[in-house]
Amino acid sequence: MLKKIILPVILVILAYGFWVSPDFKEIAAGVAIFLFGMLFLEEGFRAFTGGILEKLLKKTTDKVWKSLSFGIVATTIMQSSSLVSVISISFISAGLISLVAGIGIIFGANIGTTTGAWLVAGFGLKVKISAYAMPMLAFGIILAFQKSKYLKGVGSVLAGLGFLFLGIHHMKEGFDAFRGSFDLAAFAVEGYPGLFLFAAIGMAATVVMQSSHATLVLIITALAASQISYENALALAIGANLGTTITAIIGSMSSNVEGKRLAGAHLIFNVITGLIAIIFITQFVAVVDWISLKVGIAADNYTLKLAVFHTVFNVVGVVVMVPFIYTLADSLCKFFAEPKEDLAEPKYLSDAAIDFPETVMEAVRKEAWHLFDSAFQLMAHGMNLHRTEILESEDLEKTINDDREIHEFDMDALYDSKVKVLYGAIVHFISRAQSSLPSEFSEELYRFRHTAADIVECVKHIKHFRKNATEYLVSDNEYIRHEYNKIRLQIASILREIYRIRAASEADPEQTPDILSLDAYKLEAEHSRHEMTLEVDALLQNQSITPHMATSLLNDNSYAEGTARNLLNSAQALFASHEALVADAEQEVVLDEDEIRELSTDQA
Amino acid sequence: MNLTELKKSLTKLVSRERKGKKIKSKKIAKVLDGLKIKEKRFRKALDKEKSNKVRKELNLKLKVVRAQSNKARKLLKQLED
Repeated sequence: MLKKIILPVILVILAYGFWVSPDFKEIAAGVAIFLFGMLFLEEGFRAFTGGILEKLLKKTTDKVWKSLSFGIVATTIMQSSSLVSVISISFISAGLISLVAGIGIIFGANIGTTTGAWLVAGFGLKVKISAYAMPMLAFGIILAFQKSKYLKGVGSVLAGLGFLFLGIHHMKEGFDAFRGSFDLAAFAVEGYPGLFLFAAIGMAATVVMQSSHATLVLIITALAASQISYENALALAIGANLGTTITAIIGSMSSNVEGKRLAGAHLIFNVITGLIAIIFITQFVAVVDWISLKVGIAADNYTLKLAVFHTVFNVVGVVVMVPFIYTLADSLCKFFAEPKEDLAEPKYLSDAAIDFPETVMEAVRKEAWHLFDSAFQLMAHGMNLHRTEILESEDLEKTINDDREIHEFDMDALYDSKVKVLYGAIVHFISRAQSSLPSEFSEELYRFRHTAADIVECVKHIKHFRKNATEYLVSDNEYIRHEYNKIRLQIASILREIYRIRAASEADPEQTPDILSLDAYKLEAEHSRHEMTLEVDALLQNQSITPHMATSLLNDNSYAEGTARNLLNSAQALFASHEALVADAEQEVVLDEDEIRELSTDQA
Repeated sequence: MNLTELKKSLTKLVSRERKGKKIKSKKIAKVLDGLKIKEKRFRKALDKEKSNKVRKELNLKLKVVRAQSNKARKLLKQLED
């Protein structure tokens, strides 16, 4: 409702402003060009995602000081704290970085974004900035039309900077001309009422423009033209800082709980920093005067003093908040509690993760493991076993032979609600991602889809296996029971080994998962298939089992063999993440079906 | 596309292919080194092991590791050719 009203109101105010004052038109156009430049700049930097940026982000966020530095440097280079926030939310949503690392980046981005004020106040207002804008635009647009992704990126960055400069130029010109006809400074409000009023105006302006950077440039240019007082400009800067959290909150709406926690941290940081700045405004002004004096900024150079203020209050905010970063993360985890583990809901496939190739790959890989977990639960119960028995039993063979409890549940219904739903979500996410990702990622996405299909196939096999296995589990015929227990043991051992490798690689992410060791299980499965055929013949000849039992056993043995193969293939594919280079090469050395069969006949 | 352009893009393609092969060779050589260590470990364990069941398992693992080493060697040779 509010949204529907706000847009027409803004349009009417703008139209009225354009009608009344041509100078206002120039200022508004300057803001529009500036925002357009920011869009170009973001677009340009996005061309470099899917490579350097992600690798850097993953490697430089293991310690708080590193994530802080990353936030400062990345925002200084890209001049957009919003882009850095969005990237952080995507990475947290995909589980690539921790919440603490994300909070560190956001804190750093708040300092990095203050460099914008320095650039505009120190450089933008001193020189004829439009003279730089024109060549940048010309070169930028030519490069943006090139085929190469990176040249396009460089072109967009150049054009973006050109538009930013042009926007600043128009804002400056507009305010200069405005001064002749209208004096906004007459509306200055002194003291705390002015502080709160202008902080609210700064916040509203940032919410509308979705960029604190644009608000700050507007404040600096208005201050340079003496259209606002220095005190009110400080309040506007505080408001702009608060308003910028709205971008992060909007960005987190489509993300998972981790993204929401990060947006919460952003909001808390900016609110606390803003309150500190408002409460201690007199002290801040004194500190700014002292620093300005020390670094040689003239007492009446309010634009540069505003830049100093902007940096100082954000640095103070970071200094105050950093010691509480872990407490903040813990509180946010409690406030935005993880939804109760539901194996039927996709955990990682959020809209926030679809923005960057790296996050898409990681989200799909993790979701495929999530599907694997769901499938494991169903397969374990399908074989009338508990997951803990498979994973923790000291003597798996004895546990399986002794456990004759039947697990009563509707496997078809659970397959539909817990496995099929997740598989559908993965397929849908991959097809959405494929349309926006560069072609070099298609092959890997295809591999993930194939893997997900293999996992689903395992559950289907166990569904068929379950029927006879349950019947013979309580049979008095110990021979048939023994044969079915052998099959249960084989599949349980494979699952146990896969989870052992997974736990080891999670405990030490630097270590490459030993995917080649799983080939031994493939060969074992192939041997078991041969041995089973011979054993069934012998049991039939001795009349230890009936022909009906024999056919059931042969059919189920074939399901078991399919399950073993699919489980091993899918685990090998999931372990061989494209990031782990050696795992990628190991995937090439993994023995295929024909090679396993050949090896098996060798021994026979 | 004229002949000079064609030559240029082919040269670029060949050099990229060579670079890719070199990286791949290095990675596979590393995997092969790991397999050799594994093979040695299994042999040692087999020499000491008395239980028939465990010996059977070790033999199977040894067989797989040997087949994987052969495959890695073949891949390396293909890449070098």
